[in-house]
Amino acid sequence: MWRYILKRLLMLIPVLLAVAFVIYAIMNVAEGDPVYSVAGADATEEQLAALREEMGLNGSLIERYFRYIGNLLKGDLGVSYVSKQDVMKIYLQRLPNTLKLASMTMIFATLIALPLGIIAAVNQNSWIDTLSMVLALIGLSMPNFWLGLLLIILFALKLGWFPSGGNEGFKSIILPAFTVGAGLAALLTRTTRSSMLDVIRQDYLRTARAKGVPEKTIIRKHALRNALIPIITIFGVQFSNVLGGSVLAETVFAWPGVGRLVVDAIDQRDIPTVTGALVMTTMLVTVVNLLIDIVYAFVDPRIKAKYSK
Amino acid sequence: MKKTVVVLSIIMALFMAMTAYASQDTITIGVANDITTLDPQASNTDANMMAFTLTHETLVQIDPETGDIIPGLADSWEVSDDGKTFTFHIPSGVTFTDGTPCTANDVAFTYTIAKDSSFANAKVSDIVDIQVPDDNTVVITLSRANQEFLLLMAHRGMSIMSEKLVTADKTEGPWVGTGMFSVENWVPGDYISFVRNENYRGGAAPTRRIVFKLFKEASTRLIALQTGEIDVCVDPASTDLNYIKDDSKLKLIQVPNVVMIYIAMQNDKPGLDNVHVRKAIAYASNKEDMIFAALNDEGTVHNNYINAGQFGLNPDIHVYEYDLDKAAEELELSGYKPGDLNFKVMVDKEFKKTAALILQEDLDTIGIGLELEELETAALKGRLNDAALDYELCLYQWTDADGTDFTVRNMYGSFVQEDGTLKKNGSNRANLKDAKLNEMIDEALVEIDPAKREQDYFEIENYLDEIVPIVPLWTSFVNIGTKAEVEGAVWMPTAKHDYRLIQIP
Repeated sequence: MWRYILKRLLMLIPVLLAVAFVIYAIMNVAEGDPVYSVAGADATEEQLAALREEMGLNGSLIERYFRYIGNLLKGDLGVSYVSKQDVMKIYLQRLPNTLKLASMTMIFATLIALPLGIIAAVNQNSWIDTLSMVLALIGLSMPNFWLGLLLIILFALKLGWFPSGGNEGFKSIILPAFTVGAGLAALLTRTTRSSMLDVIRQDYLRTARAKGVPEKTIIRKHALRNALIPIITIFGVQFSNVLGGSVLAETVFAWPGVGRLVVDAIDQRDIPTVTGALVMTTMLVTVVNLLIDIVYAFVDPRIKAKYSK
Repeated sequence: MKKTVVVLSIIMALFMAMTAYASQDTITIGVANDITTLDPQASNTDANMMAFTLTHETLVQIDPETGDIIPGLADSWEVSDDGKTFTFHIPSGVTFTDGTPCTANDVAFTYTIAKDSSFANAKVSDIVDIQVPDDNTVVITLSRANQEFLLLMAHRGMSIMSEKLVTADKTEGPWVGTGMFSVENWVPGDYISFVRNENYRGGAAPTRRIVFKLFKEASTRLIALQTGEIDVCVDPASTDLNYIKDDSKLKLIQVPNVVMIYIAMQNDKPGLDNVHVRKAIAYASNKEDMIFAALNDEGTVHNNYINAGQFGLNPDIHVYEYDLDKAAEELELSGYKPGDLNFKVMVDKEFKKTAALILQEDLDTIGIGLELEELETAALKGRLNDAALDYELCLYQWTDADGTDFTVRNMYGSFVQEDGTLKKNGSNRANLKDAKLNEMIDEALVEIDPAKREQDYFEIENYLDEIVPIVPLWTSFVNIGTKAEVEGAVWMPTAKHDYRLIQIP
């Protein structure tokens, strides 16, 4: 198991190098020279040249990339072209907000999706099943910026229960988490239902029933546990997505997360911030994926046995 | 018992007196654009300028009501008879908000480093010498009698910084000024807070703390005002203004905006180098329809080549009224036939796109093709500022109102390079290189008689109207929603509002 974890962590190095290169290349071919974005309209040729030097834009793309990687290995993500602040500091200011939003979103989605998916599967073709699938369809189809605005109008403006935006205490996270989590809950509900339907038709469950095992025990102990692998997979993928930032929800709720940081930095051609934030997010997502793989082993003894070999 | 009642009554009275005069401790302003830097010489965006107004001071400032120059950090000044030497007097005992003394040396230092700033260099380009005879006096000599020098020194980009602090820390040193507030906390992308400078020499500000909170989405920003989470909502969506008007707890402030939206035409590009083609585009520009469609009718047609409210604005300027027949005639005069010309227009905002679509339709009627090129703001600015000048048309804006010379020189002026050729000034988006116009601009700048100087600018506008380097389109309104009880803020037509005295009593 430890060898596997080490192997996965080592694989992170080429992944990060490749991600950094791709982002660097894309940002450099994108229209809009960062020097012109940062310099004033009256910049002289000498000032532009000095700024280019200061921003580390001299030399070829490859040279700049290797210079960047050299600094990255020292833990230096560079300095923002725009705010002149350390990118690591900016990223770390936003990261807790993104982690908070991602965690709340996942908790919220799981609390809704697991029971609903199980109930729908157990009562297949009943009105509960139909209702849960209709709700899931609505959750998947509704654009989250629109849902967010509706929630703000209802719960912030009309009822005054929650703040309309910002990051001020626990109450301010409820609406954004619900907004991001609605689509995710819908996806998890459908996955849970279909995964449960696959499992509850298996012979070993029929055998359990024949042996007189109570239905609740069958569902909880035998069916759900075996149905969890695809659910955990979707959970992991979606958690990684939310970690990457939920730009629309962050914009609607003025939530200062990583997603908005990256989008704003792209607008401003702030290459160090874009690259730094994405490299850090890649690292985070890879670690989350690794954790999900480890969780597989705990859920399914067969996988654990495979790692042990 | 009687004694207790008396004591309680006194405490109650004191409490009531305190609450009667105390302002709300913190005022939160919902802003649409993030602060990008706190260095006054590193940017010229409105959002940053509003921060510098709180934290820094300029030598002089502009009275928002009269437009007169009034004291800032300098309490008095003299100008030599030839108009080239300015002597400023700094009062004794001025300190930066961290307690560092502020002297005339700091003024000299600020203006010297401004020469290296791509944002501030144009404002100090006429300075040839700075002398500091003592800690309270700074003498600035110009190469020519610049009649707008004081206006330029009132620009927030010329805020005075501390030599000691900036030299010690180039990143955070510039954040500290002698203003009424200092930076308390800055979380880029979220908020910035300022706390009152209790030792400000003119008396402390009425509000202890001011917060600029970023709400990029206009609807959310307005809802935050409606729910009371913020006290001021800057720039609500023009379609949402009725929500503010109809709410008795809120107040809508509308200030005519001096920002001019115009069609920039790269005058060197084939087709656009022909004045008749440019006139055809001017005649084909249906400004009223553009305002109606793009701004929900919240705007005013602008036909002048300088900003509304600026000195020397020509009230009798010839107007290119929307007339497609005249546009077709001009196209014929140009020698081009319908179908010969196809241009691209760059736009970066939805309202500009709407206006460009109207122009596209009208130009199509007279046989000029127009393709819309939608770009992000950074990409668009990059294209405009790039030395290659690879663009044809662009819907752009001129936001500075720091004097008519600054406007005409930057928007239409050019300078002589070492090889003797002319090169456009920074914000000259038309890429106009006209020696005659440069001469007219220089003459107006040094003219001491105000009436003659005003006439000079009328003539400059008439000349520009003949050669049509750009097509001015409109000015709109600066909209602000506030809680009904907010007072003390100065709402500026440049959208660079002054919150120093804002309060909720």
